[in-house]
Amino acid sequence: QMGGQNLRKEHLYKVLVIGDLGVGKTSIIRRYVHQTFSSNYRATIGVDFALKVLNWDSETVRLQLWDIAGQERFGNMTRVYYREAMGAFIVFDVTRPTTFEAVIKWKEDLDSKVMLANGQRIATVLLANKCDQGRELSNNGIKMDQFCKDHGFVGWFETSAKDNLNISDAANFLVKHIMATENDILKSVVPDTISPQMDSSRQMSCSGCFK
Amino acid sequence: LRFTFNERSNPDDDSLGIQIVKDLHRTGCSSYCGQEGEQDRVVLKRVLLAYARWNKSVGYCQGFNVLAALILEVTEGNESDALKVMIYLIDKVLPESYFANNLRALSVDMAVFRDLLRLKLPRLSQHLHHLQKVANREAGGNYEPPLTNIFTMQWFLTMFATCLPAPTVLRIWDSVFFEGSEVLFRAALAIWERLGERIEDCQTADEFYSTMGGLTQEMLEQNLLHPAQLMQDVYSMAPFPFPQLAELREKYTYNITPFPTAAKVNTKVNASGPSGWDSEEDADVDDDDSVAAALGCLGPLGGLLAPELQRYQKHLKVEQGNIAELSPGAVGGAATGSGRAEHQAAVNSMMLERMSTDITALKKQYGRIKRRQQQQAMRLCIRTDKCLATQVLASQLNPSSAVINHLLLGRKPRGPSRTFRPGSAGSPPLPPSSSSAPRQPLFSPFPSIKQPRKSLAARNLGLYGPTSRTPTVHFPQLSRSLNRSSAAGATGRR
Repeated sequence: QMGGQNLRKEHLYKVLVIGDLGVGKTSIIRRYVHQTFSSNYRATIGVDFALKVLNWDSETVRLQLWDIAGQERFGNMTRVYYREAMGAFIVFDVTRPTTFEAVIKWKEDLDSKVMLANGQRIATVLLANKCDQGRELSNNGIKMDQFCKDHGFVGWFETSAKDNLNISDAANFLVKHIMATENDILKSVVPDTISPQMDSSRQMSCSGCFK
Repeated sequence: LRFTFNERSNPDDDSLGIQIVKDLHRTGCSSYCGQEGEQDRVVLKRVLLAYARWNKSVGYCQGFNVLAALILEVTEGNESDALKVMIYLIDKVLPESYFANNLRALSVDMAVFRDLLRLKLPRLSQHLHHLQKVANREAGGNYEPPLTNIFTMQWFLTMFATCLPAPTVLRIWDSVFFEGSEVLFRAALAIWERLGERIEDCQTADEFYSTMGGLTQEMLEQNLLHPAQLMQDVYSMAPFPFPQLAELREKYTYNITPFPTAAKVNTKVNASGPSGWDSEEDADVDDDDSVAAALGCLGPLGGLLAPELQRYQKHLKVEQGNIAELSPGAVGGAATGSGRAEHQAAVNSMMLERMSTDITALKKQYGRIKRRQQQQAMRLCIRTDKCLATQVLASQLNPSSAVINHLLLGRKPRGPSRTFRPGSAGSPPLPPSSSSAPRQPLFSPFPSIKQPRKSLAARNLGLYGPTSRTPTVHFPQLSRSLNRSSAAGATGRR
């Protein structure tokens, strides 16, 4: 809440990038932050970190991108970095169906470990990466929309870190959602009392978890 | 060794293979990229797969690609040397569970490191702690991980291979092989000391992380740290062994327990894997594998096996006493590397569970235990029946002696006896194996009879001290290193 109160309005958002091993999380971040693509980089060991600064209308958005290693055994080490995230990308590789199957697992894991101050799930965008490799999902667009709805994603994008497709679009989309939920939170949290107008689903979701 | 490199695929190989293949070009080393890198990638894959087969409880951990790539560079592409060095490094030099069991030992070392930082660089440590606290407050009291963690994690898991220039990395590795894993702490402390000034300017955790982004780049590409100076710091910062390190490690080993118990973790990890330990065949293969490989493969590394063999010796005695009295738990201890203790614990607990529910299973288990004991005893038995492994071993406990390798490597083991391989058509050099396992690998328990006593790779990495053929060893305090090299064996034997 403090980030929003500076004179020159600056937002600091923590965004997680998660998904199975080798789906292209690091490549997406490198493309987005450094405008480069290379197959010569190293696998993420544990956790990595990158910062992207955006000019958003008259405001500044600092995106902390947390690149989480995909291998399962890093789980205990990396989950502590989920906390305080405002948004997330879950990435899969369109050429490997198993990585899509794992998306649900990653989403459940995410939702079980991090949640907004109002008890809602953090904004999460699904990225179908490596779409340059000839396997298009466009035909399945409707199914993908339904999948996102069913599993609580705010949207999905076909991306290619290699060809620089849709990555900044997806990021802008996520930032927009983060800002919207931030406003929601400010509205609901600032009065510091439980407002009778609060809709029931919200109250149910996590009033007990607040500390 | 032959087993770990064999061309036939194992059931585990699929998912392992995918993980490994996905990381082959991601070593940070350009020779593994693109079409020209194809051959190098094939070699790297074979080494990684071989290690994963050798130590199934560790398997493949991201970061091994980086380690193996560097080792292969030093062994000039020799796969089996690279494998041996890798086994020595992961199973013997680095703490157990650095790469397995949810990286438990690594998280211990991360906590230990923060304590050492506080002792050695109190100002920096306090500043970092302050930034962490502020971040905590801003996050509404939520937990912010200690700021050094993500760097310690990467640095230790790849032994600095991803964060420093190769010549510096090789010096650190030499030192790790000489002095043990405590060098990782020393190098990390030396690095933080160098970075300290620029970090103390950071006012927020966010600023710290972005500053570190730049600094890590500089460290890797611009020789921000002079290698000789770094090594000077490593050696001069504290006497060996590092004071309090052992105590701190012990303290955190028992205090850090956001993790489930070892056995539980193991089951979980493996349940998610392709095969798990759902069959005894699996366990048998493991044991056979480790016996054969321990002798055939690690043999050249001299006295390393002493503790294992000692334990094994005990078992043989117990067996001679009364087989029926053997507890099922004893199965695991025989001739397995210490890195496999967790695995054994899981196998044992699984066995115990079954036995408590099924009395026939109990009988079967004893039969199996007995059989395995016999197999192992036989394998250690030298042709002249009089010369039992136990007798050889007694003399072997003398640190300076390499007799065991000499004796064991020079001879063929006895062929399988009919008593426990009825109707088998296997040829004599094949090891006896539990009968009906279809994926039983065909390997000779002593595949590497003609191996050189000292591996080239180990020599190149400085295991036996610098030689004229060791291009990478340029110690600032060469004389000191040489003195210590004679003690290196002692380190290994611990």
